[in-house]
Amino acid sequence: MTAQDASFDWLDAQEEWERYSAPLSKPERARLQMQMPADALGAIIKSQIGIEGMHCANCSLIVESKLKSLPGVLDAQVHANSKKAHIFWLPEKSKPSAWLNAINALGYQSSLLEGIEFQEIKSKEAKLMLWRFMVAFFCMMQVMMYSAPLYGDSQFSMDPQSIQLLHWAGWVLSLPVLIFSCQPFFRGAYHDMKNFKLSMDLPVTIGMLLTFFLSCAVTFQPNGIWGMETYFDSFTMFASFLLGGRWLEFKLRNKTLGALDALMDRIPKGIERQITEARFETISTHRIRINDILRVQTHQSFPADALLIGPSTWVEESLLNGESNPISKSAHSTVLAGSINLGPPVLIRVNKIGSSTQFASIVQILQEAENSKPEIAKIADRVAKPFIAMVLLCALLSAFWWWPESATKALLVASSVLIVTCPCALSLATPSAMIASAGFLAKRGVLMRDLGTLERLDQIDYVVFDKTGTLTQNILHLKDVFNSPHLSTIELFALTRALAKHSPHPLCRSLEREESLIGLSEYQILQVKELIQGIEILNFKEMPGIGVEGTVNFKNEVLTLRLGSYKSLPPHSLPSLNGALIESAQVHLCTDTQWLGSFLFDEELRAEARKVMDQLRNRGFGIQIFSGDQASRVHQISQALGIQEHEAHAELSPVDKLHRIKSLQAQGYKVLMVGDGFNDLPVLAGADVSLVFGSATLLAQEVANCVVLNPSLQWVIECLNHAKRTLRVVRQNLIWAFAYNLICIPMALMGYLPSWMAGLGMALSSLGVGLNAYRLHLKPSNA
Amino acid sequence: MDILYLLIPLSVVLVLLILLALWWAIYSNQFDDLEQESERILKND
Repeated sequence: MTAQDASFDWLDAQEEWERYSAPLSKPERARLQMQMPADALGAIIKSQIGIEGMHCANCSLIVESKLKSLPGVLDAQVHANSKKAHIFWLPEKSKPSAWLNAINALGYQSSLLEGIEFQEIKSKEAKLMLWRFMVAFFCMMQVMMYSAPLYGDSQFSMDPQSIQLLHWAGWVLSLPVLIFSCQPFFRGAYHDMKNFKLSMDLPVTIGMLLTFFLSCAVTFQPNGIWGMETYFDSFTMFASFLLGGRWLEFKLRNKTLGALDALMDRIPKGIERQITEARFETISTHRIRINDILRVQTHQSFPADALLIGPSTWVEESLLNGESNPISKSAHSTVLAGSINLGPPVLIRVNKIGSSTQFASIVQILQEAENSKPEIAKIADRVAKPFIAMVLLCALLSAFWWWPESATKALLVASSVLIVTCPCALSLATPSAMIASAGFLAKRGVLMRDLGTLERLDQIDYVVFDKTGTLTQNILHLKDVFNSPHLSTIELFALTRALAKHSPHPLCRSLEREESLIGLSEYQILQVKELIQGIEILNFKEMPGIGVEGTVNFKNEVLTLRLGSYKSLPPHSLPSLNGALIESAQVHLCTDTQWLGSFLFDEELRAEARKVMDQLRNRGFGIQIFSGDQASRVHQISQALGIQEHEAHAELSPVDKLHRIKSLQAQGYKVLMVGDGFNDLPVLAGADVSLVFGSATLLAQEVANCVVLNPSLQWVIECLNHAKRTLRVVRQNLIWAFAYNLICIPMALMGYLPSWMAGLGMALSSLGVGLNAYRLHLKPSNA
Repeated sequence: MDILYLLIPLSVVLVLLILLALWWAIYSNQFDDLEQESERILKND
């Protein structure tokens, strides 16, 4: 039922892998042509694979050599950083399932990954940016060499021809910078003027052009009115620092985005489509057409709005309306895209697909919320625009003021004002910090869905934990089994495991494990397995908060079996079992009239749980535990964790949990919810920030703000710490940007700021903001 | 200081050559993945 379990065979169809492939570029084709085997006829295809679990460059080299050794694969390039691989292969000799299985056999998780054209474009963009920066940077270095002799009063002691030579050389090397490297700024300024908008590109462009043409005038009219100093050094330095800053930001942004979208939504999910009465083909959800008949398994989500053909089932629509109560659906009722099938596998006929479904519109709303900028960035943007207008005005006024005295001075002062003011530091302050932060976390396996999460994390003052699977380990150990006299132990195990197979709940998963066959000899275990083969569960149903149910034909009787908490038992049917039940996590098997058996589990707390609770308390956070489990169990856990009575709540339904969070929020608290998606989906959506671990349900991972791939509660503390650090850096950046402008503009207006100093100042202020943000990429020196 | 009339234009040409070499490096993917390539030497086979 997990993504890893699915076989990859359905991806071998051409219509499937085409989505993840692209044609080769000319140099790639030329390179690989030589490696083509003599009998190959078809074209070479380039496809993109996403790989999880590669920790270092060595892992990626292992995968690379493995892929290259497969028949039909001409080349493979694996990148550990972006968790992507490109594979060059011949469709006639190789299949996607072959490579994906090979990678999985090495111990990684792989899948085809969308976005290969996007990758190509981003990669070309990155190269161009780097190239522009390098051109500006190297030309700058040489131009500074030409300008250095002219500093100070050497002007008066050098012969004019040498001076002219140096000016000329500076001009030649500034040309590539002006014509090529500065294009992005000129283009931006042009768009601004066309659309009557204001952005940083406009003052930068004007300043650059002023400086360059003034220096040109000095070079070609040495004895004219423009004076004797050229400013090619300022100009090129200014350009290279700006371009360097942009390149760094581009890289950071790509690193973060690359990590984020590798996880979800790009991975193909298969659904079965009916071809004939008994034959089904697995296709990706993108290929669904209206009026297709699809089969949706238990716990799969419906990929489209559809009509239910049969049989009747229960669906969970919590993602759509927040109601966590299962809704019964019978034949001819409508099911909505995005809701989950809780019951047996059903057949549906598709009505609406893709963007016309209600799910799609909800997703779009969520995505828009995600793409919206953090509040603090919006404020900075609002201030930046009038600021730029004011700067342009100041420059103009200063030019008019100084013109009577000397035209050169006027132009120089104006260009100083334009160059030195740095609204770019203002608009860089927030995004650079947020992106650096998200990138740092992504590298450590913490994925934030959007940048606003960091801001909200900083404001959290209450942390709520789910109990089972979050505070306790995901896998439970079976401790004890009790069976009623009506059933042998073997029969009990067989029936239970047959039923538990259909549910991904942690307790059911623990029942399915080999290690759970306790107290049985080898021979008995074989008997259990044989018996399971003959058991077929029909009408499977999941009742959230209570258990699972199914009917089975056993010993010539049709029984309704239930497996779940004590709430699923018929009243008064549970024998006392000598009080063994009180302390343990438990699951009971019963029919609708009698009890059949009980399983008691050892629930282990995560080792770091106590430490994390203490740390949270010391830092002043409010803590609560929400659990659907019995009061005695919750009491035991909270004692072990140092949580007080009134802070631990037991026997809560998912709706109860949501109400409690809302009441906390009504009191003015900002709540962080840490859960695993089982029975707490609406709560995850309702909290201010929600955090789940990688072992949570896929749906929970899509709803939560923050997914932590390392199964340790310590990361809750780390995330909170990191958010505080980030916001601190953002504030520092903003203060620096403001103070810098406040000091430098008056200086420039009064003519005290020579052009080169202006260029240096501007570059340094942007660099300062960028470097300060980069600190977030480094490990903190103390916790 | 007549030699300057040779040296300075020569330095301009030198910078242009350097830029050419940089262009080759960037567009033949030398800068794409710095960590992985350095570890390639340490690989066992």
